Amino acid sequence: MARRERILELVIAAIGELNQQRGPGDQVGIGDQAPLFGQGGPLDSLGFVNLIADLEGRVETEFGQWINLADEELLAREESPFQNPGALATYIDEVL
Amino acid sequence: MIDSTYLLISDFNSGNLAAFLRNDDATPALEVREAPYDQVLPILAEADHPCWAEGSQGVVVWTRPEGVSPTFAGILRGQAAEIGELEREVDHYTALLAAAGSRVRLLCAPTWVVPTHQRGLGMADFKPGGVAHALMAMNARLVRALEGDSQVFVLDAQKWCAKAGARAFDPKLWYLGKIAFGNEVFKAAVPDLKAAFRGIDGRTKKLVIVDLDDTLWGGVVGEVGIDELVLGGHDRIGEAFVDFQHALKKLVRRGVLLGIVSKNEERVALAAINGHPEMVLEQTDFAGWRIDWGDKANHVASLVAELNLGLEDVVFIDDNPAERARVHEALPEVLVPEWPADPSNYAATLEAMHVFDTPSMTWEDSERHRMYTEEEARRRDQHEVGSLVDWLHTLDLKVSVEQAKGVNLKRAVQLLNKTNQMNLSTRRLNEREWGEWFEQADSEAWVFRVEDRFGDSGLTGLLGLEAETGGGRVVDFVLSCRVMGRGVEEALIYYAVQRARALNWHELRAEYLPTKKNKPCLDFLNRVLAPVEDNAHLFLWEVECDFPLPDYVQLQG
Repeated sequence: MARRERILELVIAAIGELNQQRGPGDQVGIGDQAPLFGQGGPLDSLGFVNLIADLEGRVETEFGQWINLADEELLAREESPFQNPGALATYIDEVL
Repeated sequence: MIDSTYLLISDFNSGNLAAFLRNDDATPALEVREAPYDQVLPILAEADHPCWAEGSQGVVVWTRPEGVSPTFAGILRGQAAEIGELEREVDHYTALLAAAGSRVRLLCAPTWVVPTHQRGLGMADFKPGGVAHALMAMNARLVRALEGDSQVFVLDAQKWCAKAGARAFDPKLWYLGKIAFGNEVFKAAVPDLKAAFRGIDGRTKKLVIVDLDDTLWGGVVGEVGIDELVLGGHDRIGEAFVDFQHALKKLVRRGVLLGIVSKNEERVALAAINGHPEMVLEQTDFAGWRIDWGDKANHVASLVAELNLGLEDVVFIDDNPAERARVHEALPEVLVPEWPADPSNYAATLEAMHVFDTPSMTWEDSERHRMYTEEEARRRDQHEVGSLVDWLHTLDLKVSVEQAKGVNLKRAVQLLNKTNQMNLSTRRLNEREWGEWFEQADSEAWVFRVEDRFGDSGLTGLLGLEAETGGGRVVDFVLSCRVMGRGVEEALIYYAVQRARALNWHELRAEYLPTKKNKPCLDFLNRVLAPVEDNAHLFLWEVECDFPLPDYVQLQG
């Protein structure tokens, strides 16, 4: 399996974990292009914190490398890597 | 639909706990509010803080030990500490908790824990100056200070952390969002917090119905005989069945009733219960049984009706998945837990259930089984005598009445909150709320104890009366299902009329507030009183008229 695909699985697993604390009508989508954080995205700041804390741990366990996803520069980018699961997986793949 | 509201007060970000509480499927459905972050002491101290104005029924006050005690914070940094100062800080905090508890129906305070990576002084950590030494002293003082408080309950956060294991603490969550625990801890806390709410509301399970073969013992008694049953002895499965019976016996001692629904020959099954030397449970531990080859769902329903309980009060335990499915499908109100295939897990599965929590134990709880056994004797006796009225005359029924106060208050409030069927208004109040109500100048409350030749049923009735323009009103009319149908209902109304006369009320009103379960109360009122014209739920008695006390009831006090 290509590394990006494996990372996308980790992103989806982290979203699944996050969805456990959200109601049935409030689930975060897991599609490649489903909105995540930022304009129109379902995540608030607490959801964002939960997602990246979980995802950093999963990535470190899987690839043995810690990456800092709570970087303000990332949030400020015009093309934020947090806009959807696909963009997030692509960004992590590039950093790794 | 929201059943209750919880307020979370914490010195860490409680957003995740709030989310898990909101989205948990178990009853009660909760609305959860979060107090402003890290304002614990001011919020607890200020009774007029806006947080309290929002009317939450329950509060969780969850703090880190270093958030409450500057001395403990110093110990965490390796500073020397004076234990007296630590105790003063804990005492100040527990006093604030007790005061806050008086503003709500329920306050839950989890014990203090520190992250598992915190080793303190290592091998010397339980010596003075150690983190574990100080933490244990703090928790012990917290528990002791609040052990007699009827509204404040200390819950064991260490258990939640143990369940969460390596995921109990996540430094990432702390540094990113000031979230003190991993989500697994919050997930483990939710069932306990909800059980506390159900306990306060009296929504606990009251009856456990068990199967026999491969549930109470290993093997089919009708086939292998008593001597070949797997129960006790030097056998891992036999020991597991004995431990499961001990777990059931423990529930009996807490006031939970036991019943049997089993496909067996009754004679053979009872012989095994009475004759097997390793049986922990005795025949008298069972409030009733249905042992034959009939449909288990029908038998569960009829046993529950016989014991005057509701289906929602019942847990059904059976090793056979088909029987569990049948009961679950036919009687969805009954809790039918998934049951492990391996008997080694039976006791642990039962003991982990969150459905038996009650805020306190009363004399009536510990004696409940005896009372139901006596009730069974009454039923048999009534059957022999024939006519109900003739039988009631043989009972030597004594009803004693006393004012609600002091030692009887705990049981009276338990009765108020647990009784569904013979309950006029189904008010759910805690000791403080009910006490404040009847201590008002125009209100009074009475409790009733019932005894007959079969035994003492204890405090089983209560009456709350309140003056209103032109007369008075019955606010609370509550009678345990254990003594229904024996003239005690009439004795309560008789006493209410006597009190109305003493208070110079001209008429006595009783407004029936319908629920799903209190139709027996309406039926009784329709039988002995008359509803006012154009309101079928409002009943009136002219106080100058005598209300008849049944001649087989001796009212004392």
